[in-house]
Amino acid sequence: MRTDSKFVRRVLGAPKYLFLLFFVLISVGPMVWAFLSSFKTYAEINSSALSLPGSFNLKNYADAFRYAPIGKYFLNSIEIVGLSVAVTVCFVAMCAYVTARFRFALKPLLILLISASLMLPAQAISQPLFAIFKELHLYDTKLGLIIVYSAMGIPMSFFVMTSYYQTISTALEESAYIDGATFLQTFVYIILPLAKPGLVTIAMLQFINTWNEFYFALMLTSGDTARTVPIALNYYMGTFANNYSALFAAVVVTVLPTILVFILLQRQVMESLTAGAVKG
Amino acid sequence: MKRKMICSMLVMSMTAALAAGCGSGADTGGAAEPSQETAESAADSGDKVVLDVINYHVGTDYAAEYYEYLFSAFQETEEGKNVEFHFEEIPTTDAFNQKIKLLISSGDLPDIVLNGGNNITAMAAESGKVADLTPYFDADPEWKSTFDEASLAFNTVDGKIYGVPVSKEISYIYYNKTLFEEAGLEAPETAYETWEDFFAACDTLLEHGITPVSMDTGDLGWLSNLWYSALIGTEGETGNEFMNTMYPTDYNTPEVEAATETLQTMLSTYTTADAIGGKYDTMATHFFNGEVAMLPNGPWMIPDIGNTEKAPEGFYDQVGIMLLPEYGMEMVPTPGDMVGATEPEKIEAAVAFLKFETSAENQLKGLEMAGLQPVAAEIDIPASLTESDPLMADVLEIQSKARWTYGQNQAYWYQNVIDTFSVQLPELAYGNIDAQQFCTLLSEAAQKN
Repeated sequence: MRTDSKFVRRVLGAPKYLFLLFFVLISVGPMVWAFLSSFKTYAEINSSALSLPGSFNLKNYADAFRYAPIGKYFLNSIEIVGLSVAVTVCFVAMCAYVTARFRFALKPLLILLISASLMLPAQAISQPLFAIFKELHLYDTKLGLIIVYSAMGIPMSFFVMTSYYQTISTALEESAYIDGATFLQTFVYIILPLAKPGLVTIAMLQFINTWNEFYFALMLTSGDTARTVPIALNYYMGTFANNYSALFAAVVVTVLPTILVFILLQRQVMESLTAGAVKG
Repeated sequence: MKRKMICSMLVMSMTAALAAGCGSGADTGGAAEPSQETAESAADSGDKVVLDVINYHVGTDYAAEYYEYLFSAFQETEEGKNVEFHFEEIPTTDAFNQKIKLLISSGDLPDIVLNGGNNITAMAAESGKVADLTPYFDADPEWKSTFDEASLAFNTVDGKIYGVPVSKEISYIYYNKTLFEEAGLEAPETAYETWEDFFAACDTLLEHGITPVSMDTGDLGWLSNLWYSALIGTEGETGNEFMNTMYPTDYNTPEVEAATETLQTMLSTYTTADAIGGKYDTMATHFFNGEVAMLPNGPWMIPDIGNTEKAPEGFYDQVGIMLLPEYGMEMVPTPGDMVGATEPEKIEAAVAFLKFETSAENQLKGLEMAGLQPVAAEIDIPASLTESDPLMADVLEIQSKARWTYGQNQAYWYQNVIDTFSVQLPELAYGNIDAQQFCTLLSEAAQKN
């Protein structure tokens, strides 16, 4: 009887595992596919997308480094994206809190301006931006891209964080003030820990968006000093001369470190995501 | 009150944080290579003339090796010994065209403006940011005489020549001799006399289980576009005139509608199942693997045919070429390279490079290294080419036998018409729209311009 109920529980639990397996497959599948493709020849890739490579030689990886300065561009990406994420998170954490909690003059105008900046397509602002950057000697510098990426990331992050702050009960802040905490102490010691899930979310969104950004990285740079990974990946896509084998190798080389970092830090990330909820 | 003050402090610290973030970036950015201006002025202080070039022939581009040779070989000549190049690399022509358009509108063009396929000559000329090269052509009649009239006319705006044509685009059919033999077919020496003969051969190939033609719809449907251009361009004088017209706006003509109907049949009957949604690379691989008998393309494909990483060993010997049915060949002048320099000595140096690039010797080099078709009206092809690259020699020989020459849509049609063509091809293939509707959609797109 006991065995039967155990069996029934297992059967009923099976869909849960199938569901999880499905999501693991669609998440990991593309990465495994890119990894396997990085060993395939041009003919193997174009003949059958799902076949296994004939051999596991490293020629494609050598080609990847031969055709494009991916090492340099990768380090540029880390620096530019890292700083733009830091700037965005720092700026938005404070700005969105004030906007979510307080009424002040010109608040609707401020929100309108931030909303309006979301509507501007990159192509529309590229020329004025190019002219301003030339004038300010920001063209072809990492600083220039950090400013642009931060500015591009702030509006969306601002709305995410404003909404997030509004979900935190004001009773917590009121209790803190009653206990004698200052505004700054309340923000730093009470609100920020509770807002960690929101902050991690905007950091991730900003990271993904800027890591893959191509247009401004192309328009506002002219050399290896500040160019990023998406430009490097274009080196394998020549007219009538695509080298998908080297492209996949380059993708693996540039994506693997970030995945490894995430795997190594995932405990901290998950803890930061749940810490606020538990403490709240 | 206190809260307000703290709020203000918070805003200030936020601003400070932004500045700090930027500051750290500035350190890293500033520590790198000298800026373009610095490098230029440093070189200018000596005897060297520094020419800025945006080069898209980089990475895996088919002409990357050739242009690497060209720039370094120029510096070994008398005219180029005092010239230094300052390169900005932009991989892919799409990215190049995006940036060059921005630079044209901002007036910040490089000294040598390589042309990335899109016809930007008129835009650059109208902006007044590129040099009028007519006086240089007039001063050197020998150089001018190496170009045919059509190529120069293509690069002329308001009576002034702005672009130096460096190659011309042609395309024809590559066919697999082995597959033709398997089907018991004898390929014509130059071309099928009629489209009926061509489709009769396709039917024979099908009967032997061989897919006759390569087609695609992805990436603007390059291969389908070449078949389509041939179908229209060989349809009598009217069709040929249509395919030699820049920016046509009415596609509901009997010739275009008939060609569309044939294209629909080709897509549904004579090509691979993955043609719909498929891209050039996959279709080329089908051809390399001996899965398809015929593929239309230009001479830039020849290096790939002989590349054992892409095609099987010995495949080169299995490939022959023929013109499109009714002796048709796509042939369009290409937009040429321009001079964006403003200082006289830079203009001189840039023109010297363009002369070097279009010398008979380098046009041959471009042909051998990258399959670039010589633009020079008369050029002596060395006999050695027949042995070293017989396919390329055949290409040079077959051109003179074309009865119909015509353009192709990516060179002559509005961009939104090219997009519509590619987007609607699958609909046409699946029979969701008929030929007339397809042409109406093209007309509507063209008339929006």
